[in-house]
Amino acid sequence: MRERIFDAIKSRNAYIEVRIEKRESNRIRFRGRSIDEISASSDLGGFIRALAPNGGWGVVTFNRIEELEKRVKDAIELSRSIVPKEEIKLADVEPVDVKIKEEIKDDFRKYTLLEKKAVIENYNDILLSHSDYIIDTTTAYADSFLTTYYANTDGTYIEKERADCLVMIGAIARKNGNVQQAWEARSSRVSFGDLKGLDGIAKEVAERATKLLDAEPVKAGRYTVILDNFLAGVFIHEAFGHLSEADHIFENPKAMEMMKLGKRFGPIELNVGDDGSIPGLRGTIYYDDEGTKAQRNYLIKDGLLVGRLHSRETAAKMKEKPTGNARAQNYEHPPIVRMTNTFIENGNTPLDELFSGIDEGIYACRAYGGMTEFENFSFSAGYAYMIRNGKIAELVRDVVLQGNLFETLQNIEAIGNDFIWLPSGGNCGKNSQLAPVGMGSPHIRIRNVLIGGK
Amino acid sequence: MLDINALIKGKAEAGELFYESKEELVVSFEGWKLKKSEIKERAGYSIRLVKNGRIGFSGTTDPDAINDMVEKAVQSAQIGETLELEFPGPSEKREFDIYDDNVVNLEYSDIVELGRNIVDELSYLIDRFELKMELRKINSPKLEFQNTSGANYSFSSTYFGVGVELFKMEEGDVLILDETVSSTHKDEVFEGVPKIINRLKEKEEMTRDVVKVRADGVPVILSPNSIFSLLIPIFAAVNGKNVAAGSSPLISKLGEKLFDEKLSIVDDGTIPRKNGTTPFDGEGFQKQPITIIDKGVIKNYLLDIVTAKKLGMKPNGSSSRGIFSPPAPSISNIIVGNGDTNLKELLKYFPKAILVDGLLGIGQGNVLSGAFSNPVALAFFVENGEIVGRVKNLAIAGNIYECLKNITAISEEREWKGGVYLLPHILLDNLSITGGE
Repeated sequence: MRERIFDAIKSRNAYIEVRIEKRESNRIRFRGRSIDEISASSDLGGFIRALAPNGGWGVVTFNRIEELEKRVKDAIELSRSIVPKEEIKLADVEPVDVKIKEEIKDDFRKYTLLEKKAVIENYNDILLSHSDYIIDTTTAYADSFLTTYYANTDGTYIEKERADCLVMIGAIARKNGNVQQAWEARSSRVSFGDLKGLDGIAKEVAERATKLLDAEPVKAGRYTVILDNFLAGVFIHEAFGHLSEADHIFENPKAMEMMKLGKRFGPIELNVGDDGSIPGLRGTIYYDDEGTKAQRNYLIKDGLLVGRLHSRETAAKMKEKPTGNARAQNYEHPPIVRMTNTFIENGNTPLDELFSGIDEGIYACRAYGGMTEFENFSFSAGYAYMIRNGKIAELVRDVVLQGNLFETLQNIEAIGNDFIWLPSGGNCGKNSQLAPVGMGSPHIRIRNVLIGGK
Repeated sequence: MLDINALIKGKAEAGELFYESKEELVVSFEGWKLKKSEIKERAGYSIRLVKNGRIGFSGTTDPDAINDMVEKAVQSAQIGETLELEFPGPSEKREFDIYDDNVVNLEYSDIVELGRNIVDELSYLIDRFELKMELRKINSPKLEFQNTSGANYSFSSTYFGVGVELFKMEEGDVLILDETVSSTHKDEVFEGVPKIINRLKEKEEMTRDVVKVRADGVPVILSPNSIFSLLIPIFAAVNGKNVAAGSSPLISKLGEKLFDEKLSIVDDGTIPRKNGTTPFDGEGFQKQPITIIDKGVIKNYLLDIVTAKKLGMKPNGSSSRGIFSPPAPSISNIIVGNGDTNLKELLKYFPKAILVDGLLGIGQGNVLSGAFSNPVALAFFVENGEIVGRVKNLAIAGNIYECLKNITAISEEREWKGGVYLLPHILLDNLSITGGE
């Protein structure tokens, strides 16, 4: 593939990058007792992006790899047809020539569909036999093995593998018209075995969905809130992480001012970063889709904004260094600035101390989903408890955290010392592209958080 | 085109073959400038088959891997669900005017020029807003479908759409104004563009004054831009998958009146020229209008072959599928019935009202339960029928099964959104809205 791509892009008088991807994937999903979906698919396609001198971005995506040469010409022609008001520049990146093999301990490709089904059927049985209230489940297995061949006219060639497998264990409970859900997911890059032996988690899910039927909706208001590791991870990713993606701000002077390095964003205890180079994590990429090596990038240090995430284009424009965060969902999309594995580092408050002193608050756990529009965010907790007199009290439902990021970060009162990388699989959506991401955090405590509701 | 009977001969007893190809041209403006142009081609096959009574599925975009795809589908059928699928035979292909040569012949330079004209029209806002715009045409889409019961069809539909977003991001204030227009026909988009430009201009003016009011307890008017998010739980609840699985709150509710009689919703994949219109669904059934809610009464679920079979009902042409996604029920063009109050009257129905024009957190949370809780992205304060200015920091919450039981009024006027939703303004005096000032 190496020669083939370099042959197609050499002597073209333009910057060109080519990404060819081959993906084999399998999905199995139960809804209740039935197999709702079973599929085994293969995807092969190519992506070309050209930047002619004084041109704009010309992009071509295609399935017939034998047309590579012709497609390269199309991309250059598209690039030349655009005359941007301001020349697009790319920050320099040292060319590399590497092959990255996924270090797999227990390869899911060795197992049959029947064996894969057996793993989730067991979890599905646990859910369905838990109580009569569990009327539906979504128990799913998915795996994908991706080989990417990337080259650009700077001389970089990267051949890399990516393996992913995951299970999702979800229960839907119903009592009269009241429908409640609970779910957990576990993903692994390295071992099919990581998805086995989750019976306890399946029991927890069934238990939680059933108990939520009797939980009252939370009363709207402002509360001191403790976020569990999961929700804290999603919070820092959604509410803060996206704002530190430079493509939101690099063409916007006022936004640049708002995100000025050195500005205080939170308490001195707060350290936030993103790192796409840690083996085995879901957001790990080693090299991004522009050939830049992934690295640890601190975004907030001692409460001060110290960095942001870049592509080669945003880095050049802002006169900063590329950070290895240009990622594409697949060959159908150009790379955009994205997070990899985003984290809040440990603070120094033990978990029980986090709860103490809260007369009435909320312990919000897991995340149903989140959405941000720059500084404004909205997250749904998977489940939550009231905190009364420093103790975890009754289960409540429909807990949605809303607010302004800047205020909320400043309102972080304490950071736990129980950091974990979340074992669940997360996909982040941006500009209609999904990307697998990792998140990690200890528990955190935030005062004066607006909880929506009646 | 390959032949389904030849492909599965000796390997499976029944099957369907699906082929999709398309070429898209996407022109993107960022920071008021033409930035990027893309040609996106995609083509692939998928197969669903029945082997020993069990269902298997596979898809591929690799033209050299067709036999491999059949093999994978056969393997997947070893663990697939046991269900007797009744594939439809051939039926007449009706024409809905969803293909326009003018879209196919639309030159790249014409699209760029249209984009530049939009930039020029709005360029007086350059100091206060950023502009992002995407113009997209789908050029030569082709769908082909065959099954072993003799259904065999192919059709093409065109797509052209423009989406414009103006946004402002400063400390303490984020404002996004966006409008889109799309159609299967070029003329409809070119005629629609001046309208969306005017609407953006009007909205920008309306947002200049920020009004400090407390919104608590004030009646709410949901615009076509925001009403959609309250309908998401209904679409989930009538989806045959959730009905067959037992988790829809609308199980055994056909014929029951659960909503205000002013509310009627039809899913109609047969409206000429609309982006959700197709002659057949993903399983070879003719598309037909499906009444979901008629005067507040639940009328139909959206069913494909599998979900209909499980419920002992008939499929109603609601299936959609892709290269990598097996058939499943989905919506096509959603038509919400209009009311008898014109928009002017609706705005002054109450002396004070909040017009909600954009929400955050759409479709998030426990959708099946009907619960929602959304921060408001854009809202206006309305006094005696006049829009006085923008109100910030609002949130709405409730449950659609409660708040759509009593609808104060629905507007006569409706707007097409995203080329597939025809939506009115809806006035509610029982929706919990909080915040403001």
